[in-house]
Amino acid sequence: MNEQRYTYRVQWMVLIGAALLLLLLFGAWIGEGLNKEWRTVQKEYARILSEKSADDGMLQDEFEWGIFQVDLPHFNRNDRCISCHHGLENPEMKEMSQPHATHPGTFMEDHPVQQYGCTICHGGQPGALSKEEAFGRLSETHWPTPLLEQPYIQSSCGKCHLAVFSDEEEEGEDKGLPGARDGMEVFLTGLTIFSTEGCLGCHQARGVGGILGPDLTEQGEKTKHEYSFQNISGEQTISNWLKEHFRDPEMVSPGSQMLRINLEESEMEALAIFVMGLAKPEIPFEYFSLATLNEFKGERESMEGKKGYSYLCSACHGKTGEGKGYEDFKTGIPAIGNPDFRRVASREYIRFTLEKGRSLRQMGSWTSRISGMHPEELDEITLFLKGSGNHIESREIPLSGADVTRGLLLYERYCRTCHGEEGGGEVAVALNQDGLLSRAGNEFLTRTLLNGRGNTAMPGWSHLQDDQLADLIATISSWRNNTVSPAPVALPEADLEQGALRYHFLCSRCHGEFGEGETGPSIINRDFLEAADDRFLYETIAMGRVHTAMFGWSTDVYNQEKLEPEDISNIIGFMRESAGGELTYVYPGSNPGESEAGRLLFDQRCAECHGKSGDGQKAPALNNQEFLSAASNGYLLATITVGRAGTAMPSWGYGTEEYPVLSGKERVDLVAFLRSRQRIRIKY
Amino acid sequence: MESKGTPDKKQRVGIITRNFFLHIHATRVHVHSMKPTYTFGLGIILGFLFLVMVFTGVILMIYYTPSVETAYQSVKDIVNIVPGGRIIRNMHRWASQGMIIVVFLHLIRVFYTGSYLGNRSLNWVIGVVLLIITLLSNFSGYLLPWDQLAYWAVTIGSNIAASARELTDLLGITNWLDPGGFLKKLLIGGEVVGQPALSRFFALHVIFLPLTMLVLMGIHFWRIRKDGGLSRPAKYASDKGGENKWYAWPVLMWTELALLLLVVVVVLFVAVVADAPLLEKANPVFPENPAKSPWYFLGIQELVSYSAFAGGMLVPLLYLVFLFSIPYRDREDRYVGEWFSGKQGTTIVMRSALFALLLVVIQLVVIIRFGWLRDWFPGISQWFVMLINPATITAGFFVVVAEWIHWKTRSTRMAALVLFTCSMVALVIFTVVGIWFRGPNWEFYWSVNQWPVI
Repeated sequence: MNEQRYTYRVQWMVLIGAALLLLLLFGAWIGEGLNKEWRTVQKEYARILSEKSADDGMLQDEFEWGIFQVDLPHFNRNDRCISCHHGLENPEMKEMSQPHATHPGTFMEDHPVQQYGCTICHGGQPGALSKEEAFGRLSETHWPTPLLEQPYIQSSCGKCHLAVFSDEEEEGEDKGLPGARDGMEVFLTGLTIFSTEGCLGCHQARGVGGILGPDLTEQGEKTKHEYSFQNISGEQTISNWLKEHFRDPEMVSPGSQMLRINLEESEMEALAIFVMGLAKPEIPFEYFSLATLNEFKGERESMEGKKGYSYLCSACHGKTGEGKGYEDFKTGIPAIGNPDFRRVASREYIRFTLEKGRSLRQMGSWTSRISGMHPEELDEITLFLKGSGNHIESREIPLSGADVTRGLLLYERYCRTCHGEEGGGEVAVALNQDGLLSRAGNEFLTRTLLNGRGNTAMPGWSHLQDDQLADLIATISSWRNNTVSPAPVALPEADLEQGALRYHFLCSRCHGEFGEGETGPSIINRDFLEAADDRFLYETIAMGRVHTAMFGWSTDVYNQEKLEPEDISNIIGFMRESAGGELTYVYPGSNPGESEAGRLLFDQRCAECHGKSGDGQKAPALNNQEFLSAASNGYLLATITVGRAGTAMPSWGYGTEEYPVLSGKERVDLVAFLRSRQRIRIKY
Repeated sequence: MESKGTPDKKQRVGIITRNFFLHIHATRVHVHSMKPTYTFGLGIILGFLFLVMVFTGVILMIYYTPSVETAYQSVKDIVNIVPGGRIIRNMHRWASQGMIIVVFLHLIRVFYTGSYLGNRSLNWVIGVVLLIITLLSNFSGYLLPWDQLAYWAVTIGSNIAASARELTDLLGITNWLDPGGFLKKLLIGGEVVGQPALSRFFALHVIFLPLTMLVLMGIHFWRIRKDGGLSRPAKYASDKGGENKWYAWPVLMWTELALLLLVVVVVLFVAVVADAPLLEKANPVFPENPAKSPWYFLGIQELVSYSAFAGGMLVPLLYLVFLFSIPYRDREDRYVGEWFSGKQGTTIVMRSALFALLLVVIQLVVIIRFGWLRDWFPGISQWFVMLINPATITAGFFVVVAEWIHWKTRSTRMAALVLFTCSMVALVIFTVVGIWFRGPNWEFYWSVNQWPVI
């Protein structure tokens, strides 16, 4: 190889290389500088503008080329969408196709681009200048928040506007957003579904709800990476993940205990959109609505009972309180909407259970500290579950046309099993004697029948027809010999301290330290004291009740202190005062049965469903300490007696072919046995 | 130096000697050095790639901000907004990858032509140092975009730097003597990659390493002059004066210009058609799976998957020790200037390559199909796992075979050929496995399509 030829060759290489270089540079210059997508789009826009101005005959404003952006330091981004979407705020562009079209709806009036940009609602990549990059949908763009289209974009409304617990009509006065709900229909549907499916039973959102599942307050801010798509076969998007998750949580997230949600496709989508809108974005506070900010702070209007139930309880206990059977759910879920349950369960029982939950079961404690529910809201749910509007129901039962014979039949059917033959009394008080009836007027009977007596074994009978109730009242009244005096009794003012002392030393040994009933009935009892007027109480205390151990305290009884009217007044005052007091314990009340006999009975009759030691197999666990602390003996007796129609619990007081009747003594023995299973007394 | 003959030649000499930038060249170059098939111009290509890096790097530096809050966005802005920014960034990225490949090719060329022999030992050492600096430059630049790829790659790299901890943990002395932790802290300024890591990587990448490289490159070129130009075979050893030499001007200049254009055209072309990767912004909460260090470290990462210390410290250090020591153990100057050192050398190289291929592939098959010690003996002491794994076994075999060849052929050159060939083949295979066949959780997959969704 000589130098000449070598040099020659190399010089050729230089020439070709230089030519290629110039070509490449030129091509790159054209491609990078001139052939940009946004330039093409702006050229198109300028053309449209000039066409329009030619049509209008008006002079066109000079169109400025270039990259346009909105600086949004408060959102930590610069949105360049308007470089291509230049017609966004130009009303003339209404009929144009994208990217030139005007923004639909009235959103721009309340969300001007210069203040909000675009990506805070629409998602996508703010800094991008090409369609694919801006949309951020393809995995190659590596953008965590892709562009949202209808209906998913409605989830973005939720990020600032959502107030989960407030009622539909949001004032919005501080933000001046009339019609803020336009365009949020699907999202609002999702909110409704969220509120009726009972999601907050396991999940928390904005401080309210259960703690079994993850907190959903910021679920909408999660990006694709924070979801596991391992078991998702369909579209690998967040909305699809959510929908599949709702359909079959255990498949999507193995180990999940979440129940399946049964909804139509459109409802699933609405719910998914709602969940995508649950967020707490880190933007300045001025951008949120007032209700939203308050919710973040933890302040909100108290929910009424039905709403609270629907948000928290309906997922497990059912939209109508129907519960879940043991085939559907391993430990069953009680049917708390069951009419038989409602009439035997006292307010205290329900409230206590709400407060303490039930150990070894999915029913958690809903106490304020854990669930974020206000105590008043829990009270409201209690009342809702109890089923009473005003908590003391009383109404006029027209007695004309009442038939004692029919009433006797009813009595035989419903009442005899506790109140004995012809009202003679058995495990419940005797009804056929003047000692009671001369003081208890029809008002008293009506109230007692309708409401029952909380925490005793007397259930409510408000499900009976008015004529049936009238018959019963007439029947009971037929045992009355002396009429009831209608005159109110004048009592001196009560000294509560004295009353407390008197009660403690004189009454408590029979009626229980807290009036819950011992050998005597439960008298510091809200339902009783609202049915019984002062005359009833005074006369009973003063005169006693014949044929019972209650002697008259104003009568001469050997070795017994004689009470003056002031004393009795004090006692009555004390009783009424205590009955309205705060719940501390649910006192079990009278327990005359024998637990040993009860145990034998239990093994024979109850263990098949309730388990050998009452730990629950195909029926609720009866040895559960929270249950036993919530349930008075009266509740136990009532449940055993009445049964629970609609569930597998038979009525042992009335009996069926398969489950023959248990006598009063047997039932009371069972109660004693159950009570003996209580090892700790849980305080409210 | 005395002028040679005619005024024309005097002029040619003068152009070289009187120009600051050109006078690093010799005034005359040997014909053999100009053979494309001898050097393939790799050294010069490398130098020009470095020039491209500096040029594009300075432009990038104008727009880039080395702060964790703004770094990612600044790179996005370079790509999206700066006119030509996309191309400049791509050029910087692809030229950097090219540099790594070419530096290894150059190393291979220099070794196989025996160009470390004679008085070129020091230049070889400088070259190996330059290799390390190149790798570090690439690694430090890798972090700067602050995306998921960068963050986790450097996290992996920093943990490989800490792999001495495996040994100190086994000895139970980590609390008193923790060279692994020290190295990691030196590298990234903390336990996790964060702003300190970004700041020091930026300083290393734009100032310290380029300056060091520049100085070393200067010495490297100066050594070439001192060592009498590029190496050539013994038959040219007796050439004196102008025998078999061409004047550097203009042929060498044309050649260099041609190579410069070649380099720029190739880099520019690749930059125009292929975009440098940029993943999501770095998020310390969500590791990539698999999290892979830059591709040239994936061979080491594969070895680290067998044993942190053996794969991350021991074997790489041994390899470096080997590289540095080659010119001091092998003094058989008669082999200089000849690719593969004749028939014997060629045979030995081919056989070593085959041997290395078989050894590595068989071990890979075993470890991938059947697992290794920890799978067969779950309770076995980590000492065994650390000392007996494909990294150490491979290294051990290579050393033993090299020594055996040394004994058999009585030649250090042959032994060096064996060890170099074996280790290069093994490095390539492990790197290939690490790049293409390792998926999430470092499990073996034949292709990316088979990777499970996680």
